[in-house]
Amino acid sequence: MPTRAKAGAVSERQHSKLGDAPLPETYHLNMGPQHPSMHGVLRLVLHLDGERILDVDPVIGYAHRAHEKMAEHRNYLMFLPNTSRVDYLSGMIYNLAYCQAVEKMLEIEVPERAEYIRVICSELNRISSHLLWFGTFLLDIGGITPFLYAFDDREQILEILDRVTGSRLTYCYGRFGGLTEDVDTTFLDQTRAFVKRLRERLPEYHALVTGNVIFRGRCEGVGVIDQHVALAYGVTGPCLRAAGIAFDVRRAEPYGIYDRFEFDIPTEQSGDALARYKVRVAEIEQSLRIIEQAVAQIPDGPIMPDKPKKRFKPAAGELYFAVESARGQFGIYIVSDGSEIPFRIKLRTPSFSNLAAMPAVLPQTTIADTIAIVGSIDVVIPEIDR
Amino acid sequence: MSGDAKISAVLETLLAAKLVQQDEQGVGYAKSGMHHELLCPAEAIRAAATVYREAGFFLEMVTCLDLRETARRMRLVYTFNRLGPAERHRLFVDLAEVKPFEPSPNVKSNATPATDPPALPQCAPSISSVYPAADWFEREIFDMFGVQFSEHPNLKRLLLPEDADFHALLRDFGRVEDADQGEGGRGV
Repeated sequence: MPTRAKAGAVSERQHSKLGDAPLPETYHLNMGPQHPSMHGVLRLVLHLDGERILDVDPVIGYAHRAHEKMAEHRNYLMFLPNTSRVDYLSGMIYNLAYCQAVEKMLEIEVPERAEYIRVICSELNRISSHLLWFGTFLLDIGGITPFLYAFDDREQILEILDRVTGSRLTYCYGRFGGLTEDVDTTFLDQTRAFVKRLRERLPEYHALVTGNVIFRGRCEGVGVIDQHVALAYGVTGPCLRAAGIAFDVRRAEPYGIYDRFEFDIPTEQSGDALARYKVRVAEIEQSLRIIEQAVAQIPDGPIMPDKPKKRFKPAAGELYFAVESARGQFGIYIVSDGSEIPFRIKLRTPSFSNLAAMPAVLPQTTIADTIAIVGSIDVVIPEIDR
Repeated sequence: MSGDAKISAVLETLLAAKLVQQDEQGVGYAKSGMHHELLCPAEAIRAAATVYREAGFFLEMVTCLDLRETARRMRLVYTFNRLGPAERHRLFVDLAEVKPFEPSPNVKSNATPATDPPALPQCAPSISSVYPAADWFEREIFDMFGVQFSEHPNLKRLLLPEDADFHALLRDFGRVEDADQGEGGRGV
């Protein structure tokens, strides 16, 4: 435990501003990498004045697995399983994003049915990611029961997706041009039943959490990411929408068939942890809307093109392809030198930029708030480290 | 030219100030996902970033390409975008010419990385004073490619260990699989 040179000096002293020379009483504290609320292996070096944070230096890289380097030593198809391991909580979205990027490079037409299945699976995955966040965030700030509710519902999604894809988290369901397996009527029935079930559960979530006075006390006005900070740091996803900017890649730069569905982009104005909570819960409802429309409209037909491409050499050039993951804009930048192996794949991951904004958000808050703030921005560390 | 992309006000400003020029090799949005494909000299990148910042763009990505083998250069890639309907501007910043490296990266047998890569470090101006988002992007490029950024407030490694003596995404680094195979490997 760190010790203070002058106990009790806090109240008598004028607090120093950031950037001033550290006072003799301030100290540094390592929060993480093994801390139950640091979501894997994030380490925050907190510079503290008592309980108050003067400055923070996030230290990352503990889960670096060199995905970008691996991409330079294997062909396009062999990189497929890597994608869902980047962000294992919305792996489906990452896996399909990579497929879509390569399809765009090679100008492959995706059959209609496959497009619909992709939307259904992506949105189910988005909900499961938000549910996991909901549970663990509340666990972080002291509520154990919501975690049990959320994991109960999330388990339904994992079972639905496991049945068609063979995986619970690290999906490798996409192929260039379509999907590995078709879905059957059981899948559609299960999905319909899940939509109905979660709609009935959401009021319970709200009753349990949204109005809870302790929860609001921990979140209201805490960790404000305003529009200025969001723009400066490239914050995207629910964290950005909680600051009042209705930016969603599905609307700003529609990919796949997202332009066919009606859905709203939930926003809040206050930019605090509570706003981020509200945005995510509202997004679950919107994802349910999209799933409902997709399940109703899904056509019959093939799920792969007649002649799928397995070995190919894309023309030399570059491509940036963006999708909306559960955490914000996920971009894939592929550079081809005309060979079978990518020259470079850069993964622009949303949590990277969202976490980079922490040095602008955490100062002047307290250690207890840090838990609520880092929890509320929903970081996935392996996605940052890649 | 950037295909059928509509003329953007911020682009006019940048072209008028001669901070950027159109990339003649550009292939347009349909093929590259870039609405505007531009070239920018290294000394102008900070001024160009300031124009984007004032126009309300966010810094979407900064990355690096090790083109020493083919073009004798390291190249930085910046993309700026709007928090609204997409308008992606891609800027290539080519760094000073360097000697190409010897071993081919895809040949397994001679993947022995050069201990002192020729003509590194390269240097570019940091734009982190304009976009704080660039802070981590530039640190990652320094970490992985050894490119230095002048006036960066805190240029230290981001993902690799602090005491690492290599830059893993250089093309002559070798394969990841070689990393932990004893002598000559770059395992940590």
